[in-house]
Amino acid sequence: MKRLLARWLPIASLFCWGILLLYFYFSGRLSSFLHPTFRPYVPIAGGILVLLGIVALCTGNDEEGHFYDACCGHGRSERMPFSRVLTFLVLLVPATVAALSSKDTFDSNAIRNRGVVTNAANLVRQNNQPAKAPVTPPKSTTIEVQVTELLYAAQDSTLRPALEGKSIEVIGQLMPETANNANGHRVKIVRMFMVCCAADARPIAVTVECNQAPNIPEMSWVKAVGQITFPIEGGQPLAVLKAEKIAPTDPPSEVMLY
Amino acid sequence: MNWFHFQNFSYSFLSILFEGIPFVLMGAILSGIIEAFVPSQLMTRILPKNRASAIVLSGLLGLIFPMCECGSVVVIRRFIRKGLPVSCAVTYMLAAPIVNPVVAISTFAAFRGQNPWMMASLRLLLGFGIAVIIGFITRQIRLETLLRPNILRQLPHPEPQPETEQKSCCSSSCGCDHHSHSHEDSEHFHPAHHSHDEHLSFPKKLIRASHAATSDFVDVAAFLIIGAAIAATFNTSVNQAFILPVASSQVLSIIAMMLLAFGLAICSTSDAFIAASFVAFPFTAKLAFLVFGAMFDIKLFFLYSTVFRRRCVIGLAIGLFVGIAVICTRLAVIKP
Repeated sequence: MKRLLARWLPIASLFCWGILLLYFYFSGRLSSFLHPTFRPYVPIAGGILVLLGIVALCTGNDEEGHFYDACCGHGRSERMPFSRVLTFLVLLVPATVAALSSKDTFDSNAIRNRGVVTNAANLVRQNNQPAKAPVTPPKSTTIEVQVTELLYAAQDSTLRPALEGKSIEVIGQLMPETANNANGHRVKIVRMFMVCCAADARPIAVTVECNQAPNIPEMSWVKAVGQITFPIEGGQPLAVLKAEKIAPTDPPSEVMLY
Repeated sequence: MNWFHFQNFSYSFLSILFEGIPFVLMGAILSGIIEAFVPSQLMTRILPKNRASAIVLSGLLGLIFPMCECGSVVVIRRFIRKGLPVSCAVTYMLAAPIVNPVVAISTFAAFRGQNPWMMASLRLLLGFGIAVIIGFITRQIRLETLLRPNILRQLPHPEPQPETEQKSCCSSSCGCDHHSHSHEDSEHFHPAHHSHDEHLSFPKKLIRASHAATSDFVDVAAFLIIGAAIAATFNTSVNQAFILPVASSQVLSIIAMMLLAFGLAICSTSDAFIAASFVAFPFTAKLAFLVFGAMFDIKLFFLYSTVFRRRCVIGLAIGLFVGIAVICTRLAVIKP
């Protein structure tokens, strides 16, 4: 029994983790978990884990059935079967349960706990490129912008006048506005801004002002179209979209912003 | 349990694992290669004979062998078994996640516009200095107080033991005399044990490397998972707005940022981007976040526990926390 556990549990762990990593990468689910920079490591790691599993399977191990680990058979060989099973369970159960149950997105509670950023000064532009205005369109067309671009524009004295009053379209998740919203006509369009992985993602939002709060469930993906303005609120320019239309829409292919 | 939402937990938990597992695997593979291909004597050859110089040099090894904090724990487990003095291993373990080119560049890039040269250089300098100090402190501590029994047993002889009580770790299987090997307190040191397999063919060494990597990966990944679960609970269930109001106080902001670094458990290669985004916090608070977070966080607590005794890990946490808080508070006088 001891030999069986010593030999097969590590092999099973390697295969399970390898398959899990490869599955998340090739199914596309990984894109909502990691920044693009970190994604290529996942299939490489998955492939190596499967390879290590195959090597372990084919080459076996020493006559006692445990993996070589240290001088003269100390270490792992002395571990109790219970300890091995526990390690195996820790390696596989939480990750499997999380993988099966994860909706690959945060709900509104996590967003509230993290605090919604509405000022680009609280964000770091990772590529350190200067903020640039979206391409100026011919008159009367609508510009598609991201929430980040509106936040950066609000902080940029040259971009604000260039965009002020323009018709824009922005996609995000709908959340109620809690600040400066006495008459209840404001909502927020929220996106998650990721630096490395979902665990560090921060919600960023642009305020949307409408005649009447839309009757759409919280956290639904919506497309808001209207005129962008930059009123001074709390001593700082704030991007406020005066919406003409807010309608449900499909989530974008990349749900995170980087 | 209204504060705990499994959907958020599982999402955050998996993302930490997907980010961390490749680096743990990288550490495990490097560890396997060290086990199979690096002769025990190599450590004694590349490090100065003088222990103090060896500790200082270990603090700079990350420049040659860059490794994030998850991977460095796996590597030092193997280095210790290969005869690297524990004080040097600890110095490398703490310094490598900070004193390495990747972290230097990422810190510089993240803080562009916020004194990047000063932040990057102070981070590296503090990381190096603190790691070396801890290395010197470690040198004064008995190995049996420091190391977990299973790691201690894999050393040539668990020291310090009276000579008459010394046992050869291999007496039962190979009968070799491994006495007179490493002495943590001596000014010179020797390889911990010879390799039984330095004469093996290349394919057999590869197989050995893969077995050692497998063994290390399984051991360490389990602790990464426990740490990731706690970090995910913290960063989805605790309202971070509670921490922000302390930004106006120098001392409280430093403590708050260190606590945040402990709970968030972000990889040192990318934590600068997170720290830089806390624009309301003073420079020194962000520095504390970057130095402390790379040396100790919730997942590292479990990873360190695979090598060191729990009491030592707690001692290390307290020492690092107090030391970094004091240094950063003093620095705040110069650079608010």
